[in-house]
Amino acid sequence: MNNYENFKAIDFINDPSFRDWVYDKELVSETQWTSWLEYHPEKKEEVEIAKLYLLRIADDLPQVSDDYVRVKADDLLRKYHTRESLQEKIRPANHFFRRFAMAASVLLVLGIGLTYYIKHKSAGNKEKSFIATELTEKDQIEKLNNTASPQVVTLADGSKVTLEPNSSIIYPMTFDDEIRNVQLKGQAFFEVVRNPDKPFVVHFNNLIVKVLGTSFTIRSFDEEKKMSVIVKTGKVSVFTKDDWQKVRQDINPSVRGIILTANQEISYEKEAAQYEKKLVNDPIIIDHVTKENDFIFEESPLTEVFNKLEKAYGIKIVVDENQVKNCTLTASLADEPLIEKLNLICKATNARYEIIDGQIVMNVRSCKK
Amino acid sequence: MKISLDNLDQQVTDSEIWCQFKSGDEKALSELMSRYFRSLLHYGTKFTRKHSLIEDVIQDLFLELLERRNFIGNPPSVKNYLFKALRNNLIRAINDDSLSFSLIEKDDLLVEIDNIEEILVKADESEELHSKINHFFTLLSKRQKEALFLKYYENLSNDEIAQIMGINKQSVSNLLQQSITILRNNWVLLLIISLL
Repeated sequence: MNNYENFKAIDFINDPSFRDWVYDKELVSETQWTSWLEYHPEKKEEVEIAKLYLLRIADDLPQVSDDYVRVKADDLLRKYHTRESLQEKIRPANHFFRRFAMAASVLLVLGIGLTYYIKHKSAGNKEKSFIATELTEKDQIEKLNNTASPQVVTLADGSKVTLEPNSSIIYPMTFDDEIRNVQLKGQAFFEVVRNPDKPFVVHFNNLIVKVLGTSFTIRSFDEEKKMSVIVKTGKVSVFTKDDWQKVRQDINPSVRGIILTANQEISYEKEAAQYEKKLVNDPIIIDHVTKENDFIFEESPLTEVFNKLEKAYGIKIVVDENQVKNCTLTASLADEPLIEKLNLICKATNARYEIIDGQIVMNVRSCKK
Repeated sequence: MKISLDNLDQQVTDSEIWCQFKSGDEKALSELMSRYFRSLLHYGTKFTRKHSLIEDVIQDLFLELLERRNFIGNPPSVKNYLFKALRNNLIRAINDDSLSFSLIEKDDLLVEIDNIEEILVKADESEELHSKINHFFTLLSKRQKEALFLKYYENLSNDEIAQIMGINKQSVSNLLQQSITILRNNWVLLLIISLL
């Protein structure tokens, strides 16, 4: 062995053989260092420091067995194979349509009543009207996820759609100038690139979701009685098909749809055509500036606590200012889920809360000065 | 000598496997995963505690490499190449995942004097060497811990660390220096205080 007699903790750390011993890598014989230490008890302290320091560098590393690695390697191969089967097909009759579209544009140039033709067509049965749409919106792509895991589809504008199994999406190869239209069957998580000039619109069943740029999940399987829209960030408007048409055709521009904001969810019952607006199960912090440690309070006015929560989670908290004006809170709410934070506040201030229409309504007993 | 020869062996086989991988060989894909899954997962924990997220990013990374296999070169070290790619993809995934906090930290610059004073104060209170080291580590930034991990656990040189982290060699050296100052200068002091 080297002249380790003069070594300090720092030197031990820099010694590869010492590190291999601490990290229990196969190369080093265990006895080499243990016997050396027996002869040099005066080095115990320095070695201990070096050892603790090195272990701390690697302390939270998960144990990974060889079996687990093998499972993961197999998973990878399986995923590779199933990915091949993620169907990407330009709709079958498309060649015909493309040629038809080319012919149509020639007709357009020639100025022969194509507009009339499309209108005429769209007045016909459903399938025909779809053809008309295809004509005006160029090539439609349908993606069907028949694999067992979610698949990410990137759209022409850079928006991302995470498609759940047994779900499909139809979207144009390039979006037209006014609106970004897509159709969904099943469930998907959307991350929409913001573009205020070109709303992003998802059609599913008889509902329509309109957004400018946000992230949200839609669940709408034909065989299920309920549909839902869950907003992660930003704001979305939900319309019924009828209302949407009124808006589009300017019949009744005052129809505004149901507005949902971050951490809110709407659940729509198909048969009864009824909806319920609520909070998502486990609201998350959406304000990137807020850290969990901001939820440590010492004698903080309760109004400040509520303001912080409102800002962090993007959820409106309704409270009577007069009731809480003298209340303060001393508590650490860091790293607790929102619901738990609310429970703790209520415990500390003898208050109660209700969730009504996707908002938190606080009922605090007034505090004496 | 023996060790360096072993290393050489590993290098050759690694690049051989890499070539097979690039020709679309499935066995090579699975072999690369077997070789590097553990190290990659370990490295990933320096960025997030969500192991499932790291595992997903690792899987996607290999699938992405497979897709782009006709466009990628032959890196001198397959492992370092994978580390760097994982780092990029993982940071992007974490930023996308709004549940996680930002990687950008303000406390990257220095373990400053006041921090050291803080350690000394704390050292007074706790007798355990163990908890003192733990406390010191809580003062290090994520990037410092990352550099320490690559240097001492993965046995990488400052040059390699610089490449993987995408910073220059001087910055690596600074990160490491700050992280071990405490060992160089203050242990004697700490020990004396803890004995009082």
